[in-house]
Amino acid sequence: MSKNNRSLLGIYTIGIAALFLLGFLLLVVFGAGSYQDSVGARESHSAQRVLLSYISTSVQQTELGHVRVEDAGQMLVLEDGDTGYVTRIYLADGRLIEEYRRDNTTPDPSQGRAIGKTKTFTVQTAADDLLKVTTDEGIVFVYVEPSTWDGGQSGAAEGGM
Amino acid sequence: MKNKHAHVTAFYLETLLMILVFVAVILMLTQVFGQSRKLSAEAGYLSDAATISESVSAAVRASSGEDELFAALNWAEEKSGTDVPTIEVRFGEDLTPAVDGPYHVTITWERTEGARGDYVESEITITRVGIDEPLLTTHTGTYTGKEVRP
Repeated sequence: MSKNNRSLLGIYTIGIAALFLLGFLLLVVFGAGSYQDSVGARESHSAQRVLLSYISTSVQQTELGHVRVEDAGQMLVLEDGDTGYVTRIYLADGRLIEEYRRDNTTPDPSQGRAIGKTKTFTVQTAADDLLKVTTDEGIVFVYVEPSTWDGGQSGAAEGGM
Repeated sequence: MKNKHAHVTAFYLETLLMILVFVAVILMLTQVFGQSRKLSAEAGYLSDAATISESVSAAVRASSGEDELFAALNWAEEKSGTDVPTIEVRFGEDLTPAVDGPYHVTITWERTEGARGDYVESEITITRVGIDEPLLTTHTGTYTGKEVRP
């Protein structure tokens, strides 16, 4: 009888310990997954804000020069007044590049800096004074002052937004 | 013998108490993890709402009249029964107007006439299907008269 009691107690103790171990393991797995999701979501939101907001702010800041689109909507060119320098924004090797150089130079990604990662970048005219910018992170519409819009080879988006 | 019996009983009671504490901690942590996922999702909706607000503000600035704004926003509908002209439009997950998108955007168009041009104030409110409170409410304004632009 005593032996039976002892073995029952032993099984009970091991069972409790196993239950605790299982619980801790599940907590660790669930917690790690939750943390990974949160970090991934935060990076995705940051990328979206950086790419889209940066492009629209850059266009809106162009007050003294002109805004034009080249290369069939693949390159956005923002003139820096009448200095002869321009800011070019275009896609190269899966990254959106920003380059500040003389207007008469050839685009060179190695001379610019990467704004963010994207596989698509197009600029189209959505309506008068309204550009539609498309990237992997989403689409944003940007207002262009009529006095700064120089047109270009953007092509038109489907009517309206 | 009695002493041993008392020890065993005490052991059972202690492990029972430990299990209860353990279960309580697990329940609390599960709630915390669930809440963090929910907050993460809401942060994503807010990011989307900020981008949509930016796009709609640009459309308001680019429009010289309510008709132009209405034409610029695909699948927009005029809301009746409001004090000021109001346009409703839905945006999809790709942040463009969509017929059945999850984001509802309400845009007011309040015009104040001036000598050299009209000033238009707009309130942009963005809500999402499944969430009662508005995600974002912003205000923007623009002059529609060409004379006041440089």
